[in-house]
Amino acid sequence: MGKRIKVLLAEDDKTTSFISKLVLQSFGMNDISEAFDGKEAYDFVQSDCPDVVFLDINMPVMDGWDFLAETSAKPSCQKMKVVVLTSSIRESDKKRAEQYPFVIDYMEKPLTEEKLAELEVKWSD
Amino acid sequence: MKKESNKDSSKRANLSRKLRQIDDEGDVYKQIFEHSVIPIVVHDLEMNIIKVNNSAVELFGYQRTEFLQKSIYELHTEDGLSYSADVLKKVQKMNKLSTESSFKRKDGSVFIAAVTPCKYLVGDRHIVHVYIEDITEKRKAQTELKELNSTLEAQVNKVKKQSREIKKNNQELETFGFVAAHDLKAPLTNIVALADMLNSESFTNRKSSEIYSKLKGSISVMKKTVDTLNSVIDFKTKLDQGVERLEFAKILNDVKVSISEQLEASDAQIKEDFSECPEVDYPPLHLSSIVRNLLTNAAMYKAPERPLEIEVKTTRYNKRLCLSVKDNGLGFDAEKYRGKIFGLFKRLHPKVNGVGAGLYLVKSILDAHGGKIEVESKPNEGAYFKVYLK
Repeated sequence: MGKRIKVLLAEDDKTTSFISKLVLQSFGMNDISEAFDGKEAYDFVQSDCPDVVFLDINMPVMDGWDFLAETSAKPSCQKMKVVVLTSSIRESDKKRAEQYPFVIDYMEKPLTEEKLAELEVKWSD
Repeated sequence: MKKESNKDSSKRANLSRKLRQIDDEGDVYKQIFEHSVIPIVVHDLEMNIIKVNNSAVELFGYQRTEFLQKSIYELHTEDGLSYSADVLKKVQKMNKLSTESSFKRKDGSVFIAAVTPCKYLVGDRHIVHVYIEDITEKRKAQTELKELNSTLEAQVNKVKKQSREIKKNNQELETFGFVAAHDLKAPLTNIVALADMLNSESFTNRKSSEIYSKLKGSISVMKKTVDTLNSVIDFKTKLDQGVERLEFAKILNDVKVSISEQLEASDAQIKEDFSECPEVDYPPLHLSSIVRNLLTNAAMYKAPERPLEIEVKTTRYNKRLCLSVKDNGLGFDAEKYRGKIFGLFKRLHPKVNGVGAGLYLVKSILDAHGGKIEVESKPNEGAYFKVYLK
């Protein structure tokens, strides 16, 4: 996960999104876009596919599950990676998310420097 | 004149004796009639009274001569009249029946009576004799009983309604608590994350730095509370777990491993004896939680001046399986705090660093399985918890 990667934060809570942005920036990642509902995120990846999406599940208009279902079939999103960032970890939800090959991690909010460091290790693997 | 033979003489003596007997019997029947405790009125089919006994005189307050000028209709109240006519019709068809009707006395007072008329033939004349038994008091008592019953029933229904309302209110309060705890989680997570991004060096002056440190302390307490509430909610939504055959020794060992740091910190010595009941059928998560919370509780309320000793034992009382955990820790006044210690966020020792959810969880689990928990304790003499699993 290099410094030049393009990140999309799909999160309806602006404070949570702000926190994630600060953590990413502290790792030198500055190409960060924000979408505040699932549909906005879906429209974004259609036109400008990011390298990684940090995806919330409970979002208005289109939720995280629908986003995963819609984008997983898109050829333009084949190289995109998704990190699910959720408010509560449920084993059944984790299994559901991991069915999508582009989901590389499933973690509880908030995004922290420690979590991002672990993710970088995973990414490089 | 023909001389009476011995045979004839004996025949006449017999006859005379029989006649005397009949006379005597007649007198007996007359006495029975007169002195019967039940008032009796005799009338013909035109309802004219032809005879009454002492009790009837006493009951109605008329003289005998007055009675003999009346018809039975005149003894009834207005309400009872039609009833009496109806009774007459029926009694003409059958010999006996029993019914109830209202009567009035000479002084105008009214009473209810059980009426048993009986019709028979005397010579060529039909007569009816009627037992008239005053049942006013009996009826009054029955009415009072009925009223009392309906009052009682109304009260029971009221209590039931109140109990339903209390249950509903409690459920609403619980739901409110659940929603509040759940909804607090997300913003609190953000507050913690934002506070963690700052540090005391971010502040240029000492005052701001001090305020920040207090703020972090408060956030940490709040997070602990909300996390506890959420773990209770989480646990309560998972109360219907499947049952498995479990070994107490293994469960205890797993729990000891999972809280080893805490047990080591309190220098706990644990003695176990599961010889009487080595196994139980119970949901694994629940039994582990009961054991873990009781051990954590013992470790948390350790008496600082002596090493902690905990005895974990299983016994069978009648058909109930009892898991007991006894410690030599701080203890408390069990008589005084019996109702309090199993409540959520209840702590008896303010200096001890607990949130007061452990024993609440144990009780919630036991309630869900029809079990119960008892405690014996005195200040500074340790605590003895007895858990009846089901």
